[in-house]
Amino acid sequence: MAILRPPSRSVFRPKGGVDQSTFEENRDLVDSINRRNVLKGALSLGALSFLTGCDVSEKDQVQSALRAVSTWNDHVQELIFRPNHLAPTFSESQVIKPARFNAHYNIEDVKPVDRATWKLELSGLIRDKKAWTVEDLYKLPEQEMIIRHVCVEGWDYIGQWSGINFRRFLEVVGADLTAKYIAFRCADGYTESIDMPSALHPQTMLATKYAREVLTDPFGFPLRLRTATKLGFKNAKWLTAIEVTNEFPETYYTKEGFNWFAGI
Amino acid sequence: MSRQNMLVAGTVPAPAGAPLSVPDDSPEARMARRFPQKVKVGFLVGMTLIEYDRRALGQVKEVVRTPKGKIDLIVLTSRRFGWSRRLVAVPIEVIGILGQQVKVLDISADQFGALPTWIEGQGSKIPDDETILIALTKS
Repeated sequence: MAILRPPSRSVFRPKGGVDQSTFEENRDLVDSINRRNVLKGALSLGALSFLTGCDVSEKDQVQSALRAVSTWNDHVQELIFRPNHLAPTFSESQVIKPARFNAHYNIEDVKPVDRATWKLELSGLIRDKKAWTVEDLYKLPEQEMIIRHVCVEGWDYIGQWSGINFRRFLEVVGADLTAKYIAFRCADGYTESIDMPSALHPQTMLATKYAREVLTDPFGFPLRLRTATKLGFKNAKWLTAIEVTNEFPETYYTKEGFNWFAGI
Repeated sequence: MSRQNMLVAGTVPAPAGAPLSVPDDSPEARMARRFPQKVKVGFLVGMTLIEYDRRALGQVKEVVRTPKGKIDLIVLTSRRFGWSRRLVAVPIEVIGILGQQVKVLDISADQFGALPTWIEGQGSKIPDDETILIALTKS
């Protein structure tokens, strides 16, 4: 039995009621809304009201408008980012084991990396571009942090990661720290990129361990990016290459319409 | 539905005329393909068991080892299966973990609801500090 709500008592409610025609015309689209779709640029009922003048049946117009909003959001996030402000940390008792798996495909499709042949390739504005092996990475000083992983899907967990401080790594390889972007390529074809200030944040690392054990295959062995200031999908797993560049690097998800900066 | 039947229910039979070598689709093989990870039994107790659309099926009450050495999660069914909730045994092979929840992977909600009531003594409780393996899954 439906619960009947009394009409709104708001003095601002139009006397003739709220025009439902836009909603009715786009009911199928609204029904398909979920969190991911909102971030990918699908319409929300609120957003529809801001598209006055747009023909909401014209997908390109709408996508263009939403991309403009998304780009604006990225700029605002970059402006308010505090490069030395630390994200909250947590206690070891709050760490979940195992970590929560996620990817743009199912767990059965994970392809483990061959440790014996894996190398981390470097390119772009980097002085020493020699490729790194797993053993090379393990020789660097280790940093540990217990932080919250936040997913764009609306869930989170407390995780414990250890690895190489990313700023330290960039300094070791002679990267140009005045460059704008760091781009990542991954063994599964995934690509990501972050801004240099986020890369230099004290809580950005190249992680090699979770809960003090070497990363297992589903969680990015042998190397993944781990930030404390960005949504989960920015934390690329199974890294195979890093490039320092001033050219904006498109990523797997920016091509899908996701925000790029993705700060938390 | 018995444990054996539940595991068989998720098995895909080979079609007629199929080549001799077909992928192993046994519950154990499917679990193995999901990169099982170490987990403390105590971490699982109290978790909500969900189905594919995130609706709750019940809550994990304990983890037991059957007389045949298999591991079952003993789940208290949610009220959507009836006001008098009951305990049912779900084999670990059809379960995946996602963070702080566990999810049934190879049986439907209807099949879950049809599970026989678990009776104390059908398995021995595994201590909370023991480590077992559990498959991974995602939302």
